[in-house]
Amino acid sequence: MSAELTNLFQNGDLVKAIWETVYMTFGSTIIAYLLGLPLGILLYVTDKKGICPCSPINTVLGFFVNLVRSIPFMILIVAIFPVAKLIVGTTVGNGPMMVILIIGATPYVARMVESSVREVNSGIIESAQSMGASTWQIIIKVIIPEAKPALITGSVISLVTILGYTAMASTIGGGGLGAIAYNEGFLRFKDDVVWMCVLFIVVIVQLIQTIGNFIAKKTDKRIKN
Amino acid sequence: MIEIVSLNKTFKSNKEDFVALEDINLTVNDGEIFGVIGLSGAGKSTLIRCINLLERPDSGKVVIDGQDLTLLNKKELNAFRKNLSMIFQGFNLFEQRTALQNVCFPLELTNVPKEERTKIALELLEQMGIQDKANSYPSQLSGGQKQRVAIARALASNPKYLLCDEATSALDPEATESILSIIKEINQKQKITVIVITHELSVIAKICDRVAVIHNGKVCECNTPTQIFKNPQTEPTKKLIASATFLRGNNKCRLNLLIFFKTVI
Repeated sequence: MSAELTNLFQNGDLVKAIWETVYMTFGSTIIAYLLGLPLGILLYVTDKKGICPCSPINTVLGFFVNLVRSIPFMILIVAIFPVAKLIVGTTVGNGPMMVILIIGATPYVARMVESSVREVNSGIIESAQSMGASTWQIIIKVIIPEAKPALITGSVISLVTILGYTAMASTIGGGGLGAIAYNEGFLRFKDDVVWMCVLFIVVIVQLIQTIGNFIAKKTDKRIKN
Repeated sequence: MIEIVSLNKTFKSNKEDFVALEDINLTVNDGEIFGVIGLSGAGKSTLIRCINLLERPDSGKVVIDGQDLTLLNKKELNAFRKNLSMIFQGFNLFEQRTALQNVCFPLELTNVPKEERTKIALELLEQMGIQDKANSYPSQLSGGQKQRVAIARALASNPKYLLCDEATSALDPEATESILSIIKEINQKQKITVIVITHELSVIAKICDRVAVIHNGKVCECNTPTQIFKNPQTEPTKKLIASATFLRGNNKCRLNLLIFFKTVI
């Protein structure tokens, strides 16, 4: 173990970095879901085969989602730095990074939500329609509850992807394990620092995946007991 | 009373248009079980889906109790549909809800208080003979049990009409029997008018008061089951009955088939 790594452990920088990675990942995922969940459902219901077809809304939303999704995240970070500065007032630290993460993650989440709700059997939606449910009632009482297991599985995938985004973003501006790995490890030729950061990221991903799978399985009533 | 007046429906696709229903005229009287029979692709499912406007007809009227449904706006239609329940071949139960919560669903839509809707739902499950399955999820139920839950759910809004879209086609003979006797019973006791879509002659023979034979999107015959079996007028009807008897039988033979179907129940 190199002196730098020992030092990072002792002065608490590593623990702080883990914490920063976790809260930036979860924080931006939560906000991305607050925006992306309605967006994804809107994409689904306004589709020409959806329950409330509206081609103009669908086309415009779809265009913006595809636009952001098509830009590699590393380039997106640099490209939307000015936007983040406009919102937070500064380009350094975790604040602007969160803004960038949210902008990058929301379209991803929207597509994830859209594909999850698409899995709901159309016959089930039809039966709700035949009972006289309004579009809003179908969304709230049928589509979201019926897609819940898929939505949870999707949010786990989103979390892991956004964790990757967070690590990328932190090499440029914010804090977190990515910053330590790059600044303290890679730039100073300390491989053990890099590997220690990788180890922690792997552990975080495994925890997210395991807990997420457990919750998804618990909530799904389709599996025979 | 349900009146279908010169109803047309064409499915448009890029290659060619498919005429699903052509100039359909039918009247379903209150209190009867009305059957619609035909081969796959004849248009019978489209027809029943036009009655509650899950499928919007291109032209023609669907008049129920004097109200033309095609003239209603979305909100009025949703309110009207509570009078017009439907059950399906694939049951279409909410998979993340228990049997009880499934039956509560139509009552939730009209904001019936929770205690009251639970009470109504439990009564309906009891009527269907599956009160012990109230807290089971659909994945834990057999096909027959699922259809019973679906019927209970359809009855929850206290409808005047029940539409059955191939409701017994996915069930084994035993479950089919029990579902058919339930349908017959609710028709007689609760005076619910029933429309049954099927490709099985036995269903027609067992429970229907009148039956329409539909072929290539047109109604080719409409009569009582006895007349249809005894004295089929058109070629598609004759074929349909012949296919069930396996022989191009005479009148007596067909009548025996009807008696056979009726006594099985």
